[in-house]
Amino acid sequence: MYRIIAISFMLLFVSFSNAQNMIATPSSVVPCTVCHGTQLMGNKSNEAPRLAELPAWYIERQINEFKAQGRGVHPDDHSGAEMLPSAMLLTPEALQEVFEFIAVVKPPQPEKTLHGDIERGKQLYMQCVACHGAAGEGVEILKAPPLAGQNDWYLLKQLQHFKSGVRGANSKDSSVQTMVFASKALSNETDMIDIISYISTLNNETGTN
Amino acid sequence: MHLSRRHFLNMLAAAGGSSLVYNASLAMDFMSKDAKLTSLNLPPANDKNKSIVILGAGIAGLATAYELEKAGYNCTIIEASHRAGGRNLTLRHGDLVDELGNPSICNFDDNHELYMNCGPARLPGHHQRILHYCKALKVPLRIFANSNRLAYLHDSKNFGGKPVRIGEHMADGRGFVAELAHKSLTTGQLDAGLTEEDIAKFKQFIAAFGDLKESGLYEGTERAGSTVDRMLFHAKPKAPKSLTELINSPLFSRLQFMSEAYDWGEPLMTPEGGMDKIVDGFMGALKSPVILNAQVKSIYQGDNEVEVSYVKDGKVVKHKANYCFNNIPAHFMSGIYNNLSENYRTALGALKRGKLFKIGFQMKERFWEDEGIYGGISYTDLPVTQIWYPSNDIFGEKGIMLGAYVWGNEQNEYFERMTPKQRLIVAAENGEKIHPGYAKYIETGVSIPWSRMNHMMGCGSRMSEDDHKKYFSLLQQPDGRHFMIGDQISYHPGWQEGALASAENALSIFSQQVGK
Repeated sequence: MYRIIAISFMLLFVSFSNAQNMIATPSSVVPCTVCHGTQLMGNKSNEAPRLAELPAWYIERQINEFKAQGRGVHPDDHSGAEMLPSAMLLTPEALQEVFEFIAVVKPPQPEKTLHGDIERGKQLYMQCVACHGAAGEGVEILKAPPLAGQNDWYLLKQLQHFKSGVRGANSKDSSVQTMVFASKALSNETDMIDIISYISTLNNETGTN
Repeated sequence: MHLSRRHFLNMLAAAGGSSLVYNASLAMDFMSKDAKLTSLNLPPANDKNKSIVILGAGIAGLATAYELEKAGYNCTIIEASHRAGGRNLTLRHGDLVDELGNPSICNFDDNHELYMNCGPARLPGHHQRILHYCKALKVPLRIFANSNRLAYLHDSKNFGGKPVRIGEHMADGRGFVAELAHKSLTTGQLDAGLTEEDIAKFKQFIAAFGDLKESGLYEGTERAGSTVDRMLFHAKPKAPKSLTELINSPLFSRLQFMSEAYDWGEPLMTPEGGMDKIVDGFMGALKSPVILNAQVKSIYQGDNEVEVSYVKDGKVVKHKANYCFNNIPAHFMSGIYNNLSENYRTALGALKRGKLFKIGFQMKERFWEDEGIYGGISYTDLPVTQIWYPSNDIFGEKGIMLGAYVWGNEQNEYFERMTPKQRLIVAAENGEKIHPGYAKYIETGVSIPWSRMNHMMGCGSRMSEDDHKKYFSLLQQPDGRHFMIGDQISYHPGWQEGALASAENALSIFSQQVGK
């Protein structure tokens, strides 16, 4: 009980300090924040992922994927289809402003919405380490994005999409195909939830950027 | 067998769809009445709790400010968009069509009669709250034709794919239902419990309902028009379509009853010159600042105040107030930092984005008037679903026609995924099936997918039945000093009346709270 109270106090403190440190959104980033959240913390209701910790190289690749219609065109990729026209409009200058905003914005850690078997997830995560790193920090040279800090519901959705072919089917990117292949090794949703529950433990207190 | 009143209603429902039951119930005075709104007259503000921040300049936010201002509160309205009004949006020449990823400018001619109501468009007489404000704000209204017996039902898979005048379908439908009911009474199977006199009276009703011959048979009716000039000759009704052909058409069985819905019952009204005259009315009456282009970033509740931070002109502004009325679409709330209670945030997360799509076409001629259509709606099973004919500017040179009005997730996504130009092409092709030559009248058009519109991203929020039971009443209550408002906090999302009801509810709880 005392532990819960202590944690709540800590959360309140973190939250309050975040309220104090709101950073103005550059005008060309405002359209992004409509869906991705005003501090780019993601928004489950809009199915828009957290951008706050994503590295520039990964975001740029994804925008290019959308522009090349490698992402967001599958009939079952509803949120991807919503992103596509916005990606089409993004200029390199606007994208640069997005990166600059990400570098300074520090939203609170995402809330956990999945509660799988963390120990089991830790074992299963071994197969992800080679590309995504032991701490889920991502490896640029392999084009594997960081996973730590991301919204758990978004990771689950993407794993499901990779496995079912919704994500990757239209892509010519070899790293995407690597992930499509890797997702097949996960036999069911329980595996996915366990892995993601473990990944959520890798989130640190102040964000990973 | 005894024919109870309930049994009688069930029988009607089986024969003619639930709208018949509805009408019959009305005649028997089963239905409750709508409350009439008189002015809210909130108690005067006290000095301790005088400052109010209102998030979102939609109809609920504007009405909240209007009422609080009258009671002496200091209000500030913060709005993310470049304009006030929320989904009360009327597009005219030169207006920004603010779709995320597809911004454009409305190219309608510069003419006050050429406008499109992209959100709400019609007001029924029992929406007493919105009508009260129209009256108070001196917004002129006129009658709006919603149903039109000369408009069409177009079923691409039945009746040879040809549109049929709604009046014909109505006459045939009623005729066949009446004939059946008349026969049932004659054979004495359903008349137990009714006196001879009751039966005779009821037969009169049935005969009038379906325009039956004295024989009790339906052989077509002049109600559906005539095959010869009715002024120079005896009217000669068309032969009725066959019952089996009629009931094979899902549109026949469903869509001819659209205007039976309580909210679409004739006569409806609409503000002269566009629905946003209501927004103009509020904006003209309000003295409180309405800060546009100001996106809310955080809502933090302390013991005695609420601190809202928003971005304006590249700077973060912190605004403190004693109370907060929040009109922001609930699906944005998980993307806005806040310290509302966990329960309340879960409840907000259960409100899901709804979808709604409209297309407006500027037509260079009012060709529908040559077909005897002045206002009203045609229905089709093609993707555009509905076509609306303007009730304003009859015989004008041009007109703005609603070229699509689409509900349902799949149907909406079908249009959302297209470019704005592709959407207009599909809608033009659909229109051709109802009015041959349709496409050649189109001069320009706009499409409004509400679930893609900037700072809105949805229309008519939804909640699952389970979530509704669990969470909805929570959202109708404040969380500390924070009140959630908007049509989303009503049983009637997508209607301004729902938005105003939510504001009224919040204000009445608020005045009890601060009164203590």
